[in-house]
Amino acid sequence: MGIYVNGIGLISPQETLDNKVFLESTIELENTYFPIAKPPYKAYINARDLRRMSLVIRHGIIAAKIALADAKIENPDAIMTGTGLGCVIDTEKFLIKMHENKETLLTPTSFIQSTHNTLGGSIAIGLGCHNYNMTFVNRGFSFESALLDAQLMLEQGEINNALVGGFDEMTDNHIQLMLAMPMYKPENGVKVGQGSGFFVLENQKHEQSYAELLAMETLYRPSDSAFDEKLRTLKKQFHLSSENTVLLLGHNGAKKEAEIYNAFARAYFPEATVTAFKHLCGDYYTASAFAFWVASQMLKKQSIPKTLLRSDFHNDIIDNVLIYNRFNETEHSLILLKRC
Amino acid sequence: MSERIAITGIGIISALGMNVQENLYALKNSESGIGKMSFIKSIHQDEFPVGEVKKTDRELAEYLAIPYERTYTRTSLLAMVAAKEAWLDAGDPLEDKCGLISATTVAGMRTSEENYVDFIAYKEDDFFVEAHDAGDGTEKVADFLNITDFITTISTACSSSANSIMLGARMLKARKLDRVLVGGVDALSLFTINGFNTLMILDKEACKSFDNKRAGLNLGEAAAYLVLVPEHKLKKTDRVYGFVQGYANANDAFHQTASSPNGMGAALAMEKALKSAAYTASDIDYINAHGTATNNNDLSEGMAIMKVFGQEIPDLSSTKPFTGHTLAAAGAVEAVFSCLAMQNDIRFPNLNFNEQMEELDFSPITTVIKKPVKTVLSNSFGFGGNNSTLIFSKE
Repeated sequence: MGIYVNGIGLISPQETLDNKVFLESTIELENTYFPIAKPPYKAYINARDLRRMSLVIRHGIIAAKIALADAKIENPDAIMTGTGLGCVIDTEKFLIKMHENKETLLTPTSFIQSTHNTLGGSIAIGLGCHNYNMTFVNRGFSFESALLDAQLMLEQGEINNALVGGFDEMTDNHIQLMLAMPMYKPENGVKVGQGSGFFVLENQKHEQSYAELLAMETLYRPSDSAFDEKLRTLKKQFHLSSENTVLLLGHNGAKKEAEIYNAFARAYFPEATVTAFKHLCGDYYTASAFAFWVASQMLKKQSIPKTLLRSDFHNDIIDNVLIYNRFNETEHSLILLKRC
Repeated sequence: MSERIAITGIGIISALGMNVQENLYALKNSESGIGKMSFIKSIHQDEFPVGEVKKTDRELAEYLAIPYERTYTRTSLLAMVAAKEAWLDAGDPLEDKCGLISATTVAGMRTSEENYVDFIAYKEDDFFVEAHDAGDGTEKVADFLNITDFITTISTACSSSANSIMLGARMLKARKLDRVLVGGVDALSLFTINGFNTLMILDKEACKSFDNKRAGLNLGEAAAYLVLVPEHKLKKTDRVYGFVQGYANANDAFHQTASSPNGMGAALAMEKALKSAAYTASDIDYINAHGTATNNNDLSEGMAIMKVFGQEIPDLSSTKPFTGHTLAAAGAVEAVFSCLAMQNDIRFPNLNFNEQMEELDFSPITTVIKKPVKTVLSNSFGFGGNNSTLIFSKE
């Protein structure tokens, strides 16, 4: 049985609303962090609901709607979301109000909206979906864990399809916290971002399928030898070579990270076409969801927009895309997608 | 039928005590851990009783025999205590491929809330920024116990750690791991105390689950973990507390925080779990209910239980009046209690119960009942309509 990407939806700093268009024009970052390219909210969500929803919930719901419509699925068998921080703006609001008012005169709205599973729950309510519903919150493994859960349930025959997403938002206050972390210290040159990417995975291939999900691996603090073994196994199992594999790497602007990604490409796929994505969406916990959208598009459209290329483009056919993403040096993920 | 998943280690820290033995002692003797708020400083100190772990952060570090550092949040310290107990209880994993699936709702909030506003204003004292998110505590536990093959964290509000048990079982069945430590943690925080207070669902007295005059929940803090091993990996020397026989996760899809009055999602979760265990309702000996003691939950859950079990409702109790509602930890706390019920053949009392709810045809048990327990059904429901049910069996 294969697992197929049959619908995609992405709200990001770039114009990614229309899946027919694949990064034809892109913007460069000017600010401290990437703002979201705002979608026409009212086209997707009614005015009454819109008022109650924070931006991250709106963006997640719209991305989910686009992916479901794309796959022509109305009510998925499961909903899995991943997020590093959940609903930051509401968490901050409640925290600051609580501090300012010394624990008095508080209202429940932002508390209710602050939980990490607010989006998963909101999507379920919107769809009237009583099925399996899960939220993962493990830094750079958040979106990956949602993918893994879907993969396991599809493989074990518990479900036929799943809506899987990764979402994170950035706020003016939260960027201050990020900039205090060693990785994001301003002198490192890392650009911080945000976005919401949702995908429909199914155990059936359709004419409109984007890609087949071959493998998803997370590695926590891997030793050099464990990492090496994982790569060799993957290459052997799926017959990957420089000729048939395009790399999509998590370069985040830091020099040290670039060296690691470059060494990775040299060691395992020395002649492969190399691409990168974080210069378009910034670095955040679930940036791999942006990469998942990019890889799906590459495989379906059989093209690579120039802005992504970090090497010459020397493939007649794009057979496989291997996403390698690192978070904070400790969390590594590998996602392998294949042409349908 | 797919392979069975055994529980070979358990660990817990809660208002009832620092370890499994202390928790069991309190349960057997009907001694609640709910009391005056004294370790966390809040203006609600005298207003709302809570289930606190009676140790400071520094004392928790001493208990763990590690140097106290501020980057260890209370959440991480609680998790490390319970995780270590469960991990050692299960014995040396040798060459097994091991994973950790933890769960939390507010993660490092207890520490962040003391420092956040000052940090935003003055950019000083940034020690907490890396310990604020939900992944931090999980990484701390993984590093402490040297678990490297897989880690993740779940946050589905108050059903979180029930879901980590479910995912653990699924990963073992898929042969992705040989052994997995599953559970969850939440420390008490001003954020949750004030949050639940705005919803007006905190009782000013000890909570009365399933009572007609129930007036809300008591918050608690805890961490609980279990070691899961697939049957084919069991060794002769392993002590088996029971098996994860069935599980299900369904969504109420009714309201962000409130449960549907007819308990639709709750009933669905219980029915699906029974089906996954290949059981009928009459196979269940004891129900450890979610039973938070809010008006909404107990009504919704009670209606769902009547729908699923009809006239034959097994002995049932909520242990929330012992521990308080420990949010993300609740599912794992009650999974440990389910193991203890099966191991010791006892059913725990629903403390503080006086009067049957008007809408329900049943009352919970109110005293310790010594009687064989072969199967337990445990519910965990949360915000976002997240409803999960686990079924444990002794053999």
